[in-house]
Formats: sequence, C-alpha cells, structure tokens
Amino acid sequence: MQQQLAPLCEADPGIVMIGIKTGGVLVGAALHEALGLATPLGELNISFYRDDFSTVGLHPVVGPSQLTTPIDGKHIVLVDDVLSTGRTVRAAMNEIFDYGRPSRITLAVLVQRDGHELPIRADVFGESMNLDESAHVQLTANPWFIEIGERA
Amino acid sequence: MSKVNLPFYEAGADAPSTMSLSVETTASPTAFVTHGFVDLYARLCEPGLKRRGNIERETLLAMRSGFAHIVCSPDTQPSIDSTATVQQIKATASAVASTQVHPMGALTIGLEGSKLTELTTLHAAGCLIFGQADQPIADSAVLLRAMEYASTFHIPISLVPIDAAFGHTGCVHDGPVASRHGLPGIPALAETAGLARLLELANDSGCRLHLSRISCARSVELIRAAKAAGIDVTADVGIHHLFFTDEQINGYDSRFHSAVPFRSMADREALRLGVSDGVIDAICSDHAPLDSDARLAPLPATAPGLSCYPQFLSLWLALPKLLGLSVADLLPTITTSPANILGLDLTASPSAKFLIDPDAATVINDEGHQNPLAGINNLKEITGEDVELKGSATQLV
Amino acid sequence: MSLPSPQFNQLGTLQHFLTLDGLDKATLTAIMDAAENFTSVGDRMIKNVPLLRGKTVANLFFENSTRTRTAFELAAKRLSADLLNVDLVTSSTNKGESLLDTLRVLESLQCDMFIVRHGESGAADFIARHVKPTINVVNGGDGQASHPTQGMLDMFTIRQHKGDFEKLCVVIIGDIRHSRVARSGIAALNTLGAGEIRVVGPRTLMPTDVESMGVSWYSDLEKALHGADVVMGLRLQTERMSGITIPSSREFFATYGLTKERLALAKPDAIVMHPGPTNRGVEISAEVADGPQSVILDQVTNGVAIRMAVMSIVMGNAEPLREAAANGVLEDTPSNKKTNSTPSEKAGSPHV
Repeated sequence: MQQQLAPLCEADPGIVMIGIKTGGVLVGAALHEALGLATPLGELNISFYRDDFSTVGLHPVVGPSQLTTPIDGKHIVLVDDVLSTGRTVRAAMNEIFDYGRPSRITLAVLVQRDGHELPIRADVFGESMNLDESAHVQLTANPWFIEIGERA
Repeated sequence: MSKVNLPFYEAGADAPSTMSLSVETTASPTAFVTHGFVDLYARLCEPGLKRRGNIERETLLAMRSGFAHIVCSPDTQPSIDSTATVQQIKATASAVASTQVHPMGALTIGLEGSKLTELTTLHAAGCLIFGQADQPIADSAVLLRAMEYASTFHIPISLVPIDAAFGHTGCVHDGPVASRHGLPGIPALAETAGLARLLELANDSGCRLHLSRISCARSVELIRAAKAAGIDVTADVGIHHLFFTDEQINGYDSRFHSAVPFRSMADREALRLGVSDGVIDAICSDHAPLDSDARLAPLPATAPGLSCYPQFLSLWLALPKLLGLSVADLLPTITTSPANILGLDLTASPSAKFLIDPDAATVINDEGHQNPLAGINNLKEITGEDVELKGSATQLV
Repeated sequence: MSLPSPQFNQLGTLQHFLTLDGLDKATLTAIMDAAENFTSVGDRMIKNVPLLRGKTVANLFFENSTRTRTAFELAAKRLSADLLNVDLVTSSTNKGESLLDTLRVLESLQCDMFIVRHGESGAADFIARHVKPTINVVNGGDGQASHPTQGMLDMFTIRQHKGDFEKLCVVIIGDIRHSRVARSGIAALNTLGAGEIRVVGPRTLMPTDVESMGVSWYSDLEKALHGADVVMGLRLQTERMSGITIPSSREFFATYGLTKERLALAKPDAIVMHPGPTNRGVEISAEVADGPQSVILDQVTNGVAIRMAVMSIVMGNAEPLREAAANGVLEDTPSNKKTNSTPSEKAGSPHV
C-alpha cells in the first residue's frame, strides 16, 4: 500500500490523509508515518452519518472527529481497515463534504472483501478476500493481525 | 340458613354478649357483631361536586364498609351554611340507605372565615358538629368568637389543625421526599403551630374542640399534654395516615396527594401509638372521591384526596394485629368514641348493627376513582408492609 | 414500591430524559462521552449532521426561557431534525386536561420528540406517562424539580476542566430550595462520586433535610470555599424573594456574593460556573463572572453538545418502538400502566 501511495504523495505535498475510526485510524497512522506526510493525520468518527440509526440507535462512542487541516481543494487519502458493504465509506465521504470540498478522494483499505452493497471500490488495498457472508474480519494492531471469525 | 352464636360488642358494655343469628353462609370463627361505625369526616361531594362523587354512591359504599353514621364535610357547593342545604343532604341520603348522613355545618359563611353561620338554627336542623373543612380560619379573633359562641350552646366544633398561610402553599409533607422531588412542602410545623393555637383558643373559650385528621408525631404529643392538663379536646386520624407515608409520593405518584399530607415513618408510628394509648380518640375515613380527570395534571396541580370507603373496613381490621390490640380494644375508635364526640347514643338511637367477618375475601373495586388500592389485596406492593386486605360487613335487619 | 420510573421503555433503554435522579454512573458517562463527539461538529464549516433527518421535535415551553429553548433549538437543527416551536403561555386554566389535549394534538401531527419546560414540579414525569410509547420526552426544566440537560452540561463542563469527579470539592451557592438546576446537579454529582458537595446559603434557601440530598450545608461562604475545585453560583429568582427568604439582594451579595476576594479562598485553579443569566452584583461580581476562572461561556457551548447527545440517544432508543408501531405490532397505549415500565437490568449498561 505504501508503495502504491508513495507516488501520489510525492506528486502532491498538500495531500491529506484521513483515517476512519477506529480501525482506519490505526492503518492510517502506520501509513502516515511510513510516507512521512507533512499534514497531520485526520480522524473521522462517522457515527453521526451512519444509515443504521433507525435500527441500532446512536453508536457507542469512539471519540470526536479531528480534521484540523482545511480540505478545500485538497487531495484526500481516505483510509479504512476493511471495505465490505461500502456503507462506512459512504458515510465518511458525506462527513468529509461537511468539512469542505476536496479536489479528489483516494480510498485505501487494508482488506477489500466481497459483500459490496454500494458502487464503492478501493483504489489501493493490501489484501483482497472472498469470504463467507457470515465471516467477520477484525483487525488488531501491535502486532498487526487480521482475524477472521464468525459474525456474532 | 344456619344458626351461629357470635360475640356482640355492645356500646358501653364491659364484655361482649352473645348474639344468635341466622346466616346465609358460614361466617368465619373471627366474626362478630357490632353497632354500625361512625365516620367523623367524609366528602360526599353533593351538592355541587357530583362529577367527583355523590351521596348515593358514597353512602352505599360506606354502608358496605360497616358505617351507620357519616359526618359529611361542609365544603360542598354551596357550603353547608344554610338549613336548606342541610335538609337537602339529609333528604337525599335518607332515600338511599339506612346509613345516616350528618352534615357538618360550616362554622363561617361560605367557609370564608369571616362571618359566623347560624349555629343554633343549623344545629336544630341536624348539624351535630361544625367545622371549616380544609379551610382554616386565619383571623384568630374570628376563631375565638366562633368558639365562644359555639361553647355557649355546647355545640362541638371540629377543625383540622393547619396554619392558614403556612399550610396552603404545598402539596406533600415537607421532608426528604419533597426536597428530592422539588415539590412544595407542607411542614409538620404548619399543623403543630396551628394546633397549639387551637388548643389555646379552646382552653380560653371553653369550647368543645375536636381536632380533625391530625398527621404529625408532635401533634400527638401536644394533644396528650392538653388532655393531661384537662382541656376538653378530642382528636381523630384518617385511616390512610396509619398506613401511608410520604414515601408513597416517590415518582410523583399523585394518587397519594392528600389534603392532609402523608408524613414521615416516625409520624406514622406516633399516630399508631396515639391510637393504641387513646390519645387519638377516633379514626375517620377522610373519604374523598375523585373523578377520573382529577389527576390528569402534574402532581402539584392535581386535586387532593383519596377515596377510602372501599378499603376502610379492610384497613381497620388490620389494625388490631399491627397495634397488638384486640378488636374489642379498638372498636371504640369507630363506634362509641366518635358517637360521643357527636353526641349520638348508639344504644338508644335506631342505629344499625352489622355482622363483621374479618376473614372474608374481598375485592377493592373502585375503578375510575383514582384509588391506589383498587384491585390490590395486600399493601405490601405499596408500602412494603404485609397487610392483607380482607373482611366484609353485612347489615343485620 | 414507589411508582416505577417512566424514563425506561419496555426494551429497558432510556426512552425519556426526565431526571438525573436514578440514572447510574455508566449512563451519565455515556451521555458525556457522546457529547464529546458532538463538540467537534460545532467547529466545522457545516455545523449539522444528518442523524435526526426526517424527525420532528416539538419545543413545548409552558414557561418562558430564551436560553434553554435556543439551545434545544440549535441542538435539534444541528442534528438535522425539523423543529416546531409551540407557544404555550402558562396560565391557571392551562392545566390538566388542556395540557393533555395539547399533547394529543402534537402526537397527531406525528411529532417524534417533545422538549418540555413547565412550571410545575413533576410535569415532565406526568407528560412522559401520558404520551404514546413511540414519543420521546426530554425535560427542559420542570418546576423546582429537575433540569437534567443543565445538570449534564454542568457535569460535562466540570469533566472537561477537572477530569475525575472523585477528588473534587464542589461548592454550590444560593437558592438550593427553589432550584431545579441545583437538584439535578446534586443528583449527578452524587452518582458520579464527587468527593464533597457543599451547599451554601441562609437556611431560608435550603430545602428541608438538605443533608438527605447527600450534601453538607454551610452558612458561611468563606468557610465553604476553602479547598473548593468547582464553585457554582445559582440564579437568585428575585421575583421569588419578595423579602421573605432573603431581606434584599444587596444583603445577599454582602453575605453570599462571589467576589474576587472570596474566590481567592478556593483552590487557585478552581473554576466558576453559573447556569445564567447571571445577576451581576447579586450572586456574582462582574469581575468573577468575566474572570479567568469563569467557565460560564463553556457551559453555554457545551449545552448544545449535551442536548445533541441526549436527543440522539433517546431518539435512537425509541426507533425500534417506532418501527414496531409502524408495523402494527406495538400496542398504541400510553405507557402509564404500572406493569410495563419496570427498568430492566440493561438500563445500567453504557449502551444507553
């Protein structure tokens, strides 16, 4: 992923990386450090943009969004751990647009799995998996570990 | 039909006599016969407040609870300050049941606390006792004259001891529950300060004073001392006050909103003790029927009062066990004592007798009247105290 | 034994927000945590989130209050809810049945949430017991009883500045007896385990048995301020005073006014709070209200985040009931039956 992203970052020094809480922030932090980006890593809490409020209510707390860099006209690298249905990314993009109007968004995920429900695909991904519908992918950091288990 | 021999607790007799009766169903071994009960305070809501209750309904409920005599409160609309109203109430009641309704005369016109009613005229028309319902006389000069005038004619007066200004701003006992809920409170002092004033005025005027519906431990002490000092005073307590406390208000439960508030546990215990040792002479119903809309407001804005007749007998029958007394010890609180206060002779008057069966199963049926005990057969779920609600009264013909 | 709290619905989740008395620490913490998330929303270019899009919130103010009403209005709008301001003037005739009639009309207009401000203690509780089970009621202050969103914004502000409640000495000055703000604050501080809560004022402004509320009473402000971490003033309701509970506001300021000299007796880093609007020269000197230790404006800002948190938590909790009602599987009766409002064990979990 670092290799794929490096040319983009070199081409645009104003590039802003944003991780989706909480897994995307972990992956984002690792990439941000490896790529040596000048702008601080943004963090998005997409709880308020989820489309499942009517079934599960307000999601548990993961801390507020932190986007200190102005994003108008910027190239954004949006980072998440796992891309499956695409709903999280949809919510994240909605939230980003409430902060400003980026010139471009590149989506980078550690794992792209099947189960897409929206026309959203990663531009950059570490792994691609075809999994059972009931499977659940969980990321842990230190050490990095992808755990595949049964969905609760 | 079967023959049974039951004890009859006759007024004035030292020991119960035996009464032989034919009964339809078998009465339990604890059953007894008594004079019908005498209630010193109930609201019959007629004339004027018929959407809450009426003479027919309340009197029949009272009769089913064993009452032969009811004093009805003067806070009707109009208040009981004219012979016409007295006659109207008595006529309506006599058509309903054998239970006799004795209108309490208003001590002042319109209960406004400024001008005396025609006490002797109303007395002759059938008002055995006079009072002010829940509206105390603020002006001590008026109160003293009222007492002096009543004492001239040996007419008893019955007053709820509450300070006029003090007691009318709150809706619940002023204690921890009120403080926590932010509810305006009625301090115990509003009663005891009012009571001390009444005792002084009664002592000076020589008036036959009955203290209606006391609620505080300190009141029991003041009355005990007054009696010891020879002041001619009697007192009663509403039966609900021997069971409920301000804890029942928790959760803004307006069903327990009472004009004389339910007070602390210590107060309740002192009231029970006062009944046991005779400082409190009588137990009244303080019956206050309400319509279904009366409680459709936040607690402070609701009408106060609890319907009582449907559960009076069951509550009273629980008292001997709670107080460690016999039925015979406690019967005077609802027979001879209130009768003496009113000047009624239960043995002479054609007063009804009742067969009381303390162990008969009963259902408190009072739907639509905001009665917190409706459908309940034990107080445990309300107060935590194990008090089974049972018992029946049958009038003997 | 007493009437079960109507705050919890049949699923055991927080359906209404009526009082802080009886809510556990986990619930209060979860509300503050959610509010923390909402604080960042106000800093953005576009200040609203789509969480309550399509929901209708009605502001039912039976008593005037510009501040609380505005804060709720702003919170609802930042959550993208539709807001209805209903003008209801309190009068002696506007009680009882007419109150319920108002509720029925607004229910029929398919409102989802009522924000209620009312002059009678227990009004929010009463309303919650008489609305349809799909409706959320949030108490915007009732009588002298409760002002739970104010209580929570105060706790949130304290947490922001001071962190852990267990070590804190909190001093509340003024009219405790008539204050719903004080009642809610004291309930929350006790639940959150505040080290010490001191209330200060003449006995005429203290509730009966004030110690039963879990506080200690000080008649001397200077003694009370010693070692204080948080100093909260309360608005003196001058219209309520009428010379009975205090002789004059001048005398009150002389004995209990928070001045710079008195504040110096508290810890050097103590914060000064006030629910507003302040009566300068009565409860607090202008110097203190505008001084470096004052967090009064933070309270105002936090008020919006706290109300966003409360509104979205209870609204979310009622969503399954709304869906059930839409599918016709929810009995459409008021939840005032004694049997169906028992708070479940789950109510204590952080997932409020």
